[in-house]
Amino acid sequence: MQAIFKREFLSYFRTPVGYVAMAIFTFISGFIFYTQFASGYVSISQEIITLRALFIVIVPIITMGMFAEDRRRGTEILYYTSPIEMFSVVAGKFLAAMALYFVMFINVFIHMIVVSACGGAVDAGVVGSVLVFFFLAALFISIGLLASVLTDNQIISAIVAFLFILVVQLLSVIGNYCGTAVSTVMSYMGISSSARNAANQAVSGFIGWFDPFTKTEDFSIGLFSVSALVFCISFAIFFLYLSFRILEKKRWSQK
Amino acid sequence: MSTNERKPAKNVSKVSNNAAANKKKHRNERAHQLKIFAVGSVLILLAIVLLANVLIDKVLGNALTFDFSVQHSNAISDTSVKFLESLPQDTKIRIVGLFERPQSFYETKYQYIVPLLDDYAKKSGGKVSVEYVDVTKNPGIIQQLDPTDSYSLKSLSGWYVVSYNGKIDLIDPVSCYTIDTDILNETDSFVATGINTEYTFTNSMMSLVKGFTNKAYIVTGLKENGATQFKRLLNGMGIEVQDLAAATGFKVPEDCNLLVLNGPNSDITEAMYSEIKAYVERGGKVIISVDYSADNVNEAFPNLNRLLNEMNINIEHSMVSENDPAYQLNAKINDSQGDIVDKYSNFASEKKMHITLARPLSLISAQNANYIAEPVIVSSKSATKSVADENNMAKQIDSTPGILNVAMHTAYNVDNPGEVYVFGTVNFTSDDYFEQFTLSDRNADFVKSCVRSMLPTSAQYNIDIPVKKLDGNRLNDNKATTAAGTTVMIVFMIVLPVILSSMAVIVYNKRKNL
Amino acid sequence: MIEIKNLVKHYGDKKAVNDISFTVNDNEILGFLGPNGAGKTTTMNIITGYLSSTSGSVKINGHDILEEPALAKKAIGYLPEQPPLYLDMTVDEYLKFICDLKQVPAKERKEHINTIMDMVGISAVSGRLIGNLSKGYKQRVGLAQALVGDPPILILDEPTVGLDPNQIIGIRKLIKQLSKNHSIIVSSHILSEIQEIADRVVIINHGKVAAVDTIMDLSQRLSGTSKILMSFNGPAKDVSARLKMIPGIADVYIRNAGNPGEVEITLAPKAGNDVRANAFFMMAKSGWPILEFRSLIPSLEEVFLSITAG
Repeated sequence: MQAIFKREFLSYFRTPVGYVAMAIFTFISGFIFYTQFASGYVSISQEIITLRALFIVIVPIITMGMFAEDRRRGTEILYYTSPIEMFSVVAGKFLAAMALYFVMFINVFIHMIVVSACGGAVDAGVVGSVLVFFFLAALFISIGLLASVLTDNQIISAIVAFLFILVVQLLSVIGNYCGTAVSTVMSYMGISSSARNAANQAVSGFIGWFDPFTKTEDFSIGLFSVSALVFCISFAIFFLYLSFRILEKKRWSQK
Repeated sequence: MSTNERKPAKNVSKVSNNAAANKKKHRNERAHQLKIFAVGSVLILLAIVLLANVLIDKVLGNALTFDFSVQHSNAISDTSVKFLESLPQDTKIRIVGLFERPQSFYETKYQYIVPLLDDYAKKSGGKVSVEYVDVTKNPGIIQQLDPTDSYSLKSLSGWYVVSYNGKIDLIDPVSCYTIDTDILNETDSFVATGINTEYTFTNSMMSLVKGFTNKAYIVTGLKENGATQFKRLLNGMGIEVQDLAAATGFKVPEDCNLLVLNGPNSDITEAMYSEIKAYVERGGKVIISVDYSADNVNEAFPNLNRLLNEMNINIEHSMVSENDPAYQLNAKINDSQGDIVDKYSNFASEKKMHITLARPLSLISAQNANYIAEPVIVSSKSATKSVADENNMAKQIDSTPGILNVAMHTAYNVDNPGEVYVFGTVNFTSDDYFEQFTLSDRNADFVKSCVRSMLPTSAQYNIDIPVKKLDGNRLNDNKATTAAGTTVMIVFMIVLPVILSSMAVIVYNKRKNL
Repeated sequence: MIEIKNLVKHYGDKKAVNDISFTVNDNEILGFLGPNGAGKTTTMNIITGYLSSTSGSVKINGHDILEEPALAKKAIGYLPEQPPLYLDMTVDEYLKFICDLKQVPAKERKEHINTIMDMVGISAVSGRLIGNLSKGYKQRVGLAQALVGDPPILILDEPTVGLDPNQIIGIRKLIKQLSKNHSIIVSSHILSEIQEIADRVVIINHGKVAAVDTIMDLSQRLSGTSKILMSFNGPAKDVSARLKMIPGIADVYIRNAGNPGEVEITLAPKAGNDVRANAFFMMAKSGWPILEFRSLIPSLEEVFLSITAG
């Protein structure tokens, strides 16, 4: 795992990719920070929440090559024939992407220092936001990694990751639409409005339950919910395990 | 047979597929086992993940949620918890937000309300439920909360309704904050300085639950209009209401905490005069409202005035003509706005009250040193007095413009003072007004404060929960100067990105030629 | 030592590998021979643990590749047909990564890498980007990768493909040298190449073992059956009858009769017969000067045909 982590992480900095990603992140976070700073009110939580919107762009870029590129170049054979577990390869690549995120995030830590130096608040909400940022990053990177395992084309992998993350981001909205759709269908079937409403709520509630953003929104105001973190990390582990299983499938697949 | 002939190819391929599948199954036991293991392990892990999450979320979620915020802005205090614990187990208080639960309430006025209300629901052991219902999408909720639609909930999207046993209380989210008045005056923008969400909601629940510990009597039989709405308003404040006939043998009952004369069109009787006088002298609270309408243009209320004169107030037999167009509503002299005098400015969220067909009230100074009377709501500086002529048209009787009193307060000058609020307009009590403008109107707001200020209700119920100061995101002005801002911009938006970009170029160029 | 028993690999209904068994002894070079698509790469992928077999077993120094993959894989160095190189790394960085991957202790790493680089002759390019290296160097880096961690067993899939003759000679020498303390499987679709270096040969075709033989036996078998190409100055129509008079000759094919001054024919000897001397004398006797006379190296397909026929 260490070997993979080291190679993957350093590879971001052997090519311009890592620097460019960092430059973009620095600029955007700097812009958000500066606008707040200029107004005299700085909420680091707000900055982090805004930065979370970048997941949908940055994660696919970071993860698209992870396995797709290895498969295309034939380097994946190294992982299959080395005396290491395939899962540790998955974990190593995952941690490398997390580490890149962390390096980019150093910007925000610097912003925090500036804020405290200028008498602003760096409170529990900020800590919560940082925590949530990384747990959500773990979830989304695991999704991007899965997308990269599914195909050997980087572009397709990026698009799949993008769509997957988009769906996750819109889960609550999708839930509402599905709920409305169900109740509309039921109204054609002549079902009473209270039952329809119940069905609407059940469906939208069920789908909305999977929305990691709703689950973690309280962190930014200092309310830490362990269950939300468990949600993110357990699904991240699930996606990693699924990726691992799909990679292993290549061994025994008869196709 | 014909079917077979038509689709021979399909049948054949199907058969061969099956055969191939069977054959494969036999041959590829190892692959098959691996497949079952792979698919099985993924499914089992998924099941474990889902189960663990549901378990942690539904069962342990609340126990595993911690409030690390400064001052615990998102958790209710022990005071509220104790109050909730003191309620009977079968208490059902509904808090309904008249809007869809906001997806993200961060940096909105709901930031310090939504999580706190969740905490109420969490810590009340099922006594308090919090729901969010968009009134426009589910109008049925109005029928549940306010069957007579006296609060016009439809127009209160964004507010909260606290409901208990058919009684409701309305809460404007803005009222859950204290506002920086300096900034408000300077820039007209709201900057919250403190949170009193918990104060607001706990006291609202308190007054709804504690029920009718106060009793009001509304006098009937003086040709007045209905008081159904006003009764609801008082009920909402936890005050039981009963009618009291102005018949002979009129007596203010012993349990009367508040006596209301809601827009009589005929004068009170002699018996009532002495009864009410005695009532006030022994600490009674009275609200009187009259107006100058077609029903009473000829009524001078001599007995009522005799009573009020002894408390240094006089109801005049004329009408307030508002001549300042800025105060007029719909360019009418008899439908206008009145100013709340400074001392009473905290009685309502707005500074101007709606007054219609008002009789001027005057201060009779030094009549009775035991009473202190003072104006509460006044007209503009350019109001005059008018009376109705033969054709019921307003005829000016006093050409000198000046400030006229529309509402006054007088109090008996002792420890447990009798108090009287006199309104020269019925806009604070009548069905006519509230049916048009609802109980969430500014006048309702004001009269509630009047009642609250007189009755021991609030003092008796009020749970004192200190306002929580908002964690300031404000930077120190001396440090966060414009120069510092510029430095921040240059460093974070120019220097660092440029350094990183040039590193990208350097690394690329250096490695390209290795 | 590698023991392969009854190895089978299905792809759908196709058997890429069909019941292959053979053994590789310690310090032996085994040539793994077969035409393209015969199942060489699949077999090697199974041996190295990249793929799992449908049935059958592979034991590396006693460790089953499926049951104890970590131990088995540790004993193998694998150079796939396409070397698994990261083109954006330098040779040095790449080999360090492989050291990490194969769990070479950090202390020994530097020396280990230097030894290997010297051995395969890439010390001069250690600081260069792999993507910028020539194909020969890339192949050597791939080989260096396989050598990392001193695995006792090397599996080299077409190690010389696409290299120029000098590079081929270099790689061959290296493999010979490595065989002193390694068991090596070298695959190729070119017979001569295997003949040069291997001690034994396994020939597979259509996923089946066609022959397992030492190089000596194979050479003997092949020399007897190899065809002879001859061009001479004489009439094309009589030559066939004349030559068929020689007892060892089974058939004569006229390849090019168009040019009267130079006729090209192929002689197919009967198995086990060396007919070269007799053919020469026959031509001399007929007064047809021989312009060119050489053995035709049989194509693998022909070898298989001859082997399966014999």
